[in-house]
Amino acid sequence: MNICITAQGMERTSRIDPRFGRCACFCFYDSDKDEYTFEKNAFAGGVGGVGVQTGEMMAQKGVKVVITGQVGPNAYRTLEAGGIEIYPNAEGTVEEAVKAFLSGQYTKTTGPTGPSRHA
Amino acid sequence: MKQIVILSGKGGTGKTFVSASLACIAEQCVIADCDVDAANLHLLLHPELTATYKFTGGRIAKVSSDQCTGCGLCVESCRFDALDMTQNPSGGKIARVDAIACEGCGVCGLVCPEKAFTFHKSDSGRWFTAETSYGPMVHAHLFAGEENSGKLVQEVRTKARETGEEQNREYVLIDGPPGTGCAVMSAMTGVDLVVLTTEPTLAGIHDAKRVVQLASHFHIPVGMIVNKSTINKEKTAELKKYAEDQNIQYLGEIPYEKKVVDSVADLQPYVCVHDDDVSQRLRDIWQRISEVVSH
Amino acid sequence: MKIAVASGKGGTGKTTVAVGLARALPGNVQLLDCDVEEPNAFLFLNLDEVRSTEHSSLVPRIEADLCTACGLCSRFCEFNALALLKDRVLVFDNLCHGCGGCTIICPEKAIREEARPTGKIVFGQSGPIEHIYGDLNTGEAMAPPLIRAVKRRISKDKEVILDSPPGTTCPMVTAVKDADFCLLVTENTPFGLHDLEMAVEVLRDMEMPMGVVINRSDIGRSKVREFCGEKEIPVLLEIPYSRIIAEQYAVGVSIVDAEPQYRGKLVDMYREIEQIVMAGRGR
Repeated sequence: MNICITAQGMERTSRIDPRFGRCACFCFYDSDKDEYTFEKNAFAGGVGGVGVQTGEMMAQKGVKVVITGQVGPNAYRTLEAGGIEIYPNAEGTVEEAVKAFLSGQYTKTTGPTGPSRHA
Repeated sequence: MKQIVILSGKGGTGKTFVSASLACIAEQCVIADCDVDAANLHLLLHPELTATYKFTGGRIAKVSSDQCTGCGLCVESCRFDALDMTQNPSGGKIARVDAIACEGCGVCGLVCPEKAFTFHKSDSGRWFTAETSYGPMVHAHLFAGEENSGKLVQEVRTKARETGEEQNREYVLIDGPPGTGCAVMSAMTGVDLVVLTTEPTLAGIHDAKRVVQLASHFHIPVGMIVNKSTINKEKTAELKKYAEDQNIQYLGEIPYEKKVVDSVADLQPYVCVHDDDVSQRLRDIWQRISEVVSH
Repeated sequence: MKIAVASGKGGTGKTTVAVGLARALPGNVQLLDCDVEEPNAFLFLNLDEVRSTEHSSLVPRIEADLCTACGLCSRFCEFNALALLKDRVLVFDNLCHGCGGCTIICPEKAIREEARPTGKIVFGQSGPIEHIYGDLNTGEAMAPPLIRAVKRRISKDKEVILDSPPGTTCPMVTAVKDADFCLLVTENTPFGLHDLEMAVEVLRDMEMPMGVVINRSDIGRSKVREFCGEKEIPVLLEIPYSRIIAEQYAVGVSIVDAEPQYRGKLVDMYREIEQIVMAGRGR
């Protein structure tokens, strides 16, 4: 399963970035292969609709689960339409968050967690 | 780290006057001037620039005079009044783009039968990181006539937050823009407190209420300072009551005095030059702000 | 004649001057408040016959039966207001700028536009003054479309005064565009001067004839007069600091009632502006 974690850096030990659309980096974790790949977020400086763009990208990459801090209303709608589950309020490092998710400690959200345009 | 934005709704109520003094009183802060349309805080804080960054607001359409046949289809289709027809020096008519009105939507390029349009990133402004005697500062300057101030505010906010985290600062103090539009919303999101600096006038109260409405939309708590409080004691009392009714923290009052209005000419934060009743009130205000955000 | 009243810095006295001018002028005047985020002029006019109309923006709606999920609309949209996910196009009204491009590009003609309320336009009468202002709904980001809608109500048969938003960016430019003259209201402080410089730059780019009003003119210790001299911009009126004007402003009383001497001064200023504009047209 393809899982995306929003991160502040490009390492497994990097901390979770609480922002979804404007996070510094994305970590893509393949749970079948136990593999981590990292990418810088090219959308971070966008004018508007960054949550939408990021959501679209997740869908295109076949991500099934997003682990992050907060999701605004645009991001939430986009991810939901893409059939992607969102687990917010994650903390700690990327690795810790993945472990916590896989051991069932996180709850998925059924709505946006905050207002739009987080900075 | 706590983020605090100073807003007013109406311009001229004293946001920058207050922000500058709070920056001086508060220790361990990062300062962000998000009034990117008319940035003034730097005039009081004298930042020494450490880096300058370019800001690209959006796209602007450009017409190629070789391909344009002057058919005018683009002018009809533009919803932003950004195109008109003008004389082509080599004869006939040619389309002309109003760079300020152009939103870069691309519709002109879509409808043009001659493919005469190209789109270019617009160099819209600059933003800066700097050092001041009161802490690191991030500020910006949007070029005259430009738009997308909300996006530039985002850049300033992001850098201020990152700087604060890197340097372990306790507070991000944000001098906000007037109004309730895009730039204000960008200045406001994710903060721990809106410090509403208002004045006891009809216009001040009217505009303050709009800010309160916006803050509630974003679920952000509000604190209120009544500046120029002695202009009208009834209206100051009205504001105090409004604050109580709306669960707004009443942070303090600053009287309307010529010495205060004139003080901006000192080009320093008020508390750095004066040690009087007004500076004591500003200190008390900061004390209350720090208490409110630490809960 | 259409006169815009603007400023770089907020709070310098635009509304004071705009309302004062509208009240001082004889005959039928139209006062338009284009500061749609924070309209204030109406507070100083006792408006009768108040009515309002809703102002809407156009947003796209997708006809699901006709949509083939080709993605052309989503790729075209510069503002990320359209997203294609799992063969369905999502529309984000709050990001849409209303350009209409998606309706044009869709090969199946599956997109139509719907009106979404974004604000209102209010009309009222205050003696001989016809007052119109825009009121943008809280949370709406875009002022210019509503400003343009207010300006479409400009009457050709009346003297028009436009109260502009503060600043020097898009909303101000939209309000001031196509005026015959722009008055810049400032204060003689470093802030006032700094922002006046930017406002002058914008107006020069627009080739707009301009003049300056210095409010609270005897305090602030700055160099606004010198700046105006250097740039050959006429200082048309100075209003010294007056506690009475400030206190009366607080309760919605116009400068022409607080200090009646300004009635004549504002009319004189208006005549001077007329001369400047006519001389310009003669060129």
